Amino acid sequence: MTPAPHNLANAFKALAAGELDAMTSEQVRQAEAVLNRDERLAAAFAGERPRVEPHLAATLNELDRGAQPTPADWERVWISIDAAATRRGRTDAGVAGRILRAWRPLMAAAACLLLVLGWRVTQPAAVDSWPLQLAAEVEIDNLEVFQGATSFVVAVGGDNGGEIIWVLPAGSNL
Amino acid sequence: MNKAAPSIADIPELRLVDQAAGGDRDAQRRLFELHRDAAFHVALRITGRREDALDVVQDGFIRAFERLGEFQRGSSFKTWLLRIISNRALDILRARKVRLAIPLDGDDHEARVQLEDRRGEVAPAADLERAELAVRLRQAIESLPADQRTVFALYATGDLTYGQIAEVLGIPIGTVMSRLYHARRRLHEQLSDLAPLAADVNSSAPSAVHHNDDTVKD
Repeated sequence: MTPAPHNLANAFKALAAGELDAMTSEQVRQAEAVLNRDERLAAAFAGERPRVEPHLAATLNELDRGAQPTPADWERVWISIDAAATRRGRTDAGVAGRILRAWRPLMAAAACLLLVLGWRVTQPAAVDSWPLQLAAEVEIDNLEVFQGATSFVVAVGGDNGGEIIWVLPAGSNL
Repeated sequence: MNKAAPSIADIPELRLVDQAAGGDRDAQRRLFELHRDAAFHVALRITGRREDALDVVQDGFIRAFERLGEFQRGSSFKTWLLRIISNRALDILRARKVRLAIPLDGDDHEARVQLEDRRGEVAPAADLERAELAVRLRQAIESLPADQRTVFALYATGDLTYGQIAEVLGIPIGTVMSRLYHARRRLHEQLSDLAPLAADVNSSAPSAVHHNDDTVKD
């Protein structure tokens, strides 16, 4: 059933005046439903401050009189808050350190992997794909034999050429 | 000529919040000093115990400073803080597993001892009656269901609007009004036998509840 307009109007008048007690339960129920449905109306009441009657205010003050914290109480509370902030700062740093330590082996492994990948990408193409040609000048700079294997350091192409290290395994027919 | 640096008391609240979020202890302390009274009274009204209320304020500020990054600049720091305080106070109530309809025996005893002590002093009758009314009011507040009690606690600070109470609790304004109405009605019913006493108290009452004049403007 739609609430009677005068009924609601009285309810809102009482609400605006901070006189909640002047309303009936039914008016409160209706006003609640309308306010919760109508955002613009709710916004109009948002700035209203429900009145605290002087005798209630006085009794609440009386109630709080013995409970009021002393400056020493507040100082203790602040010290705890401040200490928590300090602990949190330390914990944050500790957590960052633990994360870094936990990731260190993984980071080392990742670095090795990158190194290998980098080397593979930058290494010269396979020997098989090189064109085979005779060198104009070949000079053996060094030759060593160790446990049947032979290594050569060979200079090719004269002054503008390069050096090749050539290893022949033990038992090679060459 | 060098301009003097502004004192921390002159810094607008939102800037204080930004500084506090960056770990500035002076800004955090200033926010604490500005809002501790309101936080304490809301916590006291919900928990009904002074030591619990102090714990709630402490935990509430610690949580607030930890989560300042989540604070929405569109709302006020006070309503955001009071939301944390209310939730924490309700947590304590739940943890206590207290049936809210039953007054807290320990506290009630403590309050009565204080009252008896004061009866021993030479005090005006009106003071004693006010003290007795206060004890009864506390019992009545403690008998309220948690949702009404929380709305009443915020209302009793005396300086929050319906909109701010709604924002603190995350409920619509109509529901704030309705819960407050029912809370007040229950208190009236429970204290109806003290009506003449309340009227006497009324004649010598101050005009407001708790004022915190030490505020800063955004």
